Amino acid sequence: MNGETLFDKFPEAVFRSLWEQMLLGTLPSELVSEVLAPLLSDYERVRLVLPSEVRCDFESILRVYPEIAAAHGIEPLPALPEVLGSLWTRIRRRKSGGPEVSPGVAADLAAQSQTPLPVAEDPLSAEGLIRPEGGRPVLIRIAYEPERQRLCFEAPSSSGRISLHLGGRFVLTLRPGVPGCLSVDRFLEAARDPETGGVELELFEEEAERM
Amino acid sequence: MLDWGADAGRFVNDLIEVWTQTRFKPLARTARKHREALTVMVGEVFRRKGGNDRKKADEARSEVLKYVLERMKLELEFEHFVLFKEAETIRVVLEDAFGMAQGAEEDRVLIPRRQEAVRMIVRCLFAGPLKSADTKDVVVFLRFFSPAGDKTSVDQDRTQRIKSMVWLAYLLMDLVRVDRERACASGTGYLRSALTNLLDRAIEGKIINEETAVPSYNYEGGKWDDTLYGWLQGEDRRPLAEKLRRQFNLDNRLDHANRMLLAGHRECLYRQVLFLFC
Repeated sequence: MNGETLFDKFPEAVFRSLWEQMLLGTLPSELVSEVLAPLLSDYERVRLVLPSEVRCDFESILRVYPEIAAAHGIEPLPALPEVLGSLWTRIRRRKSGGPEVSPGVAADLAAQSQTPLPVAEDPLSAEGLIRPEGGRPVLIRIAYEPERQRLCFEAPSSSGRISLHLGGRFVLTLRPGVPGCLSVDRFLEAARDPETGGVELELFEEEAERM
Repeated sequence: MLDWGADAGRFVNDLIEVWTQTRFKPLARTARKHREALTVMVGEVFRRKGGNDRKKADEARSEVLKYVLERMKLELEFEHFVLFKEAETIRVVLEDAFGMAQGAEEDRVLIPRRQEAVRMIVRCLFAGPLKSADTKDVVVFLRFFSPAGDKTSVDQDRTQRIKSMVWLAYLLMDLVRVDRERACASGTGYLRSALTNLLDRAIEGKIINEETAVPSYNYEGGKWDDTLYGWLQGEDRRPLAEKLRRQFNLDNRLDHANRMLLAGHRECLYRQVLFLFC
């Protein structure tokens, strides 16, 4: 490795070490607070000038360290899978005509009851950033269409094809600018992992189609 | 203030969701299977009397990770990081982690003394009131952490400055490690002259005597051999040593002001290394 590369790589590795520790939650809260002080001291202004994917990364860190967010009066938006979990519960209640809670999801629902959906006027839709494995975060919009009994997903700013997995299984491919929809029954059946009771949403970038 | 009683479930869920989107996904999978037990455990930590929010949250994160790792039979150490002992010299780390061909998994290296280094940098890059910090500096600093984003669009001059601060922090920590008594007794004036002297000696090949293998013939009886300064000596490393000297701007040049360190940055790093290690 030549001098120029080393000059770059070593500092990057130092910061990456810290980043990994913050994601894991092994860095002490006090140090994370000091490291993020330039962001936290003026959060609303700084977050607006951060690129969306970097902002998404720091919102993740504030989810790992909620006490830091709380100390600065910051409320990170709930993660998209959590919002989806809330949607699942509400759609299921609506469908069955009343509350229905299976034992495996009791703790989950307790958490969700604290979590307002981000789009208040349209409570059965949501949007949020989620990172495909190894890729950049993607904005996903979710809309429940009760008259057609389906749930539609859209990645409005994505340029490639994305596989969407629910409950650990592939359910549909999202193409740029084209919504992909699931029947409500399929969503209710697929989204919750039967083993863990949690709603799992994962994205995977698909390789570009060969000409 | 968090509502600890109600937030245990959210605390665990958020850890799981964040890990799901990273290469710690295996942790998320295991945590999901034990979500209820983890929520109960975190709730117990939160309800304990005494201790502040930060300490309780640190303890809760540590307990969650410990619980999950135990069920994964400690795979994390072997699969996710190249681990170095905290006592390892940075010279050894650089040789092991970066001595090989480019493309080594340097992003999985846990570098020793990283916490002290970042403390020094954050205190010296943002030395004034944070509210009046230059937003460009803040953005570049934050982008350094985040693996996301197109790095080519980042302000290259300010990036170079932060990288220079990392190198200077490690060179100073090595200097104080080897010469602690003299550094702590003499203060920043000594650090200033010793840094310049050692960098110049590294560039001129005068740390390790290449004519003989006897360490006592080396500079100050060989005491700098195992430091970054000794590592910087030699034909291969000279371009890096020269670049570092330029970047540290020891001659206080005024051109490329955003790219290089200013006297204020250097003096602040001298003070911080003494504050942290003396």
